[in-house]
Amino acid sequence: MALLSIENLKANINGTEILHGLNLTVNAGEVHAIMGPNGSGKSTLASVLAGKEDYEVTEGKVEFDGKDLLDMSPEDRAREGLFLAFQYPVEIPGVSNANFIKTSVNEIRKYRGIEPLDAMDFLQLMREKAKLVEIEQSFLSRSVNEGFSGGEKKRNEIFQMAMLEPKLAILDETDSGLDIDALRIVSGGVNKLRNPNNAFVVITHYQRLLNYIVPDFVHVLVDGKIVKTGGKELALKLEEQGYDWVKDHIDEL
Amino acid sequence: MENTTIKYDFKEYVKSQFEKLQSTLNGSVGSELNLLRKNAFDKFFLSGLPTLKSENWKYTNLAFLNKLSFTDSYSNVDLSKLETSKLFYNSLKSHKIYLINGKLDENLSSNFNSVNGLKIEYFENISINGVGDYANYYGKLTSMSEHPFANINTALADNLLVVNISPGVIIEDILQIININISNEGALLTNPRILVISGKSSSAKIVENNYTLGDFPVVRNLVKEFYLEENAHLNYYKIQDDSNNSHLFDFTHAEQKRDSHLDEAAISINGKFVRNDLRSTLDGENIESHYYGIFIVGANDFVDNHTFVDHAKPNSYSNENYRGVAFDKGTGVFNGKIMVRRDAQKTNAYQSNKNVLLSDSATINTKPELEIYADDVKCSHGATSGSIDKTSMFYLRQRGIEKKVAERLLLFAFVNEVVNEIKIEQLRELIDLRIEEKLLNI
Ligand SMILES: Nc1ncnc2c1ncn2[C@@H]1O[C@H](COP(=O)(O)OP(=O)(O)OP(=O)(O)O)[C@@H](O)[C@H]1O
Ligand SMILES: [Mg+2]
Repeated sequence: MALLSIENLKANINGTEILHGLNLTVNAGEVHAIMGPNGSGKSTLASVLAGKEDYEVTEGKVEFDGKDLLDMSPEDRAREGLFLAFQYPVEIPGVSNANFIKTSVNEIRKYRGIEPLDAMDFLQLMREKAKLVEIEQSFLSRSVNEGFSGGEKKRNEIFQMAMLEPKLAILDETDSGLDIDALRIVSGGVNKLRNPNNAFVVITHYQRLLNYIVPDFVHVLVDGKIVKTGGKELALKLEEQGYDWVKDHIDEL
Repeated sequence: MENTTIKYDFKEYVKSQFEKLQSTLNGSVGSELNLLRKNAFDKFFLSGLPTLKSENWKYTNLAFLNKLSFTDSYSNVDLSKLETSKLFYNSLKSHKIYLINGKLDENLSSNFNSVNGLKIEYFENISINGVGDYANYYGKLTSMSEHPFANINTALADNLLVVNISPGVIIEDILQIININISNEGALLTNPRILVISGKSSSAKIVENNYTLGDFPVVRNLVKEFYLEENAHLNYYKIQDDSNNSHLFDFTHAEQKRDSHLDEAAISINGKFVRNDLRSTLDGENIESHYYGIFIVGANDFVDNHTFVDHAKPNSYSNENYRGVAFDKGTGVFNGKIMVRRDAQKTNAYQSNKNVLLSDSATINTKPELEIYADDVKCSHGATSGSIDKTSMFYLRQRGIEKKVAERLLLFAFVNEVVNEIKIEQLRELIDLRIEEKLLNI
């Protein structure tokens, strides 16, 4: 059974249809890359899957781990194991990173009927995961993303992902704005978390990332639809030829 | 059978109280203090209770005052059942002054002889006995006679608490003024009166708490006068976290001399009705003043903050930061005025009021006002009212956090930015606990 299956998904924002019938299947253990021109609907897809209320789904079906995803609140989707690393992580003044992630971890544990982590275990876990993405302890006591540099925000997303160990992580341009070292750290983090039971959907504009996080599939999203799917070599082809080439070589209509 | 007719007229009630007091005076009717009192009464009686038509009261519905049936007995109070340890903020490490229905309770209060340089003085039956050396301070700030409830207080207050910090003295310990109102038989109007004198180069921190005990509604009409002499430092934190049948009018006027520093805060967490009037006169150079406020207002409750910051001399700094949260049918009002007079060049004056509304039936009316007559000043003001930031909410919920929990987290952070300005750690912790509790109701 697929971990995520999207069938004919259509979604609007403010009456404008952005996703025009999108299909995608992701199995456990796989890494999928989604590429596509600016404004083609990549972030929209991520937002719709995560349950952002501004979007209206007009048609289609999404199953996540055997459950109807579109029927769930955003928090329940997260608790079921869906994680979105945001393209633009939001700054939340006055809420410390540590308090935020602790609330998050324990809310998810509560949902799954597990005892909350006590302070000691939580600190221990936080230290371990902070090391994984090489973020400083002092980050944890600062307000969520407040005053973080672009790269620091992205690393913070991966840190949160490491803390929550989701079944499916959607990384929306997590590589944008990262320097070479940060790119290595972030992808190193992802690779360490990869296992046969989880999956990643990586949205990116750059083939470079896919040298670090090697995908099983590369999809091209154009105008609200996936128009081409291939192996990792498709990313190289895209980099050379650009999206115009894709438009001439569409798999399906 | 329900009786919905108005039983008492508040204005007449004030009159009866005033006349009762006058009848006990005999020889002191013509004393200077009693003249002040009479003038105050006349002023109040002439114009009566303000209505929604007057600019400063247009959101403040005072109709409830005419519906309460007030009792005359201030003294019939049974203190044996008063367990001070149950008062929430009593764990605050501090020297305590208890005012029960406006009267000092010496048995409950700390012994202040041990605190060097601090004079706690208390005057009873001031209409007969006067206020001694404090006559130069008592009721001398002109703003007082322009305010209906300050006038009621001046007309009726018969006791005075003075906190006098001697020049040059730095008081490390915290002073806590605990206003307790108890009525065992009907609604009660009390008029506590407090005078704080911060001597030259002195420093002190005062926390004020307000508790209404007993089953009957209380109207606490509190008036405070602060005088900060040269280079004095005063932190005054008023905590308005009272019972559901409490009504509070707080009139505070601070007058500051050069180089002095005032931190004032109004932390309104619970209560049926709160009206705060804060006047501040920066009457010298190089003064620094901070005014902080939080109000969290739900149910059918009402919190109103009117502030007036008056820069009279050059080179001073003031900063005002109020944050409000309204839910259910709660109503909040913020009206902040900054006046920069012609002489007050190089003034820096800032004001910010940010509010969050959680329901369609909650309202917050905010009105910042700047009146500037000097040309070389830096002033800014800003007011916003809106709902909780949707993007932040989605971010938190995407991390598995329940909608309500996410809301509380964001609201807590929102008000906590002001709580964090309070310079007493233990007080911050106590306030945070109560705010968390209050936010469970949203
Ligand atoms: N509120 C809105 N109203 C109307 N159109 C919108 C709204 N929000 C987004 N869109 C449009 O939806 C389309 C898809 O946007 P989306 O953010 O999903 O693109 P993307 O593929 O992630 O692009 P990028 O690569 O630049 O991140 C864009 O054309 C955008 O302008
Ligand atoms: Mg995008």
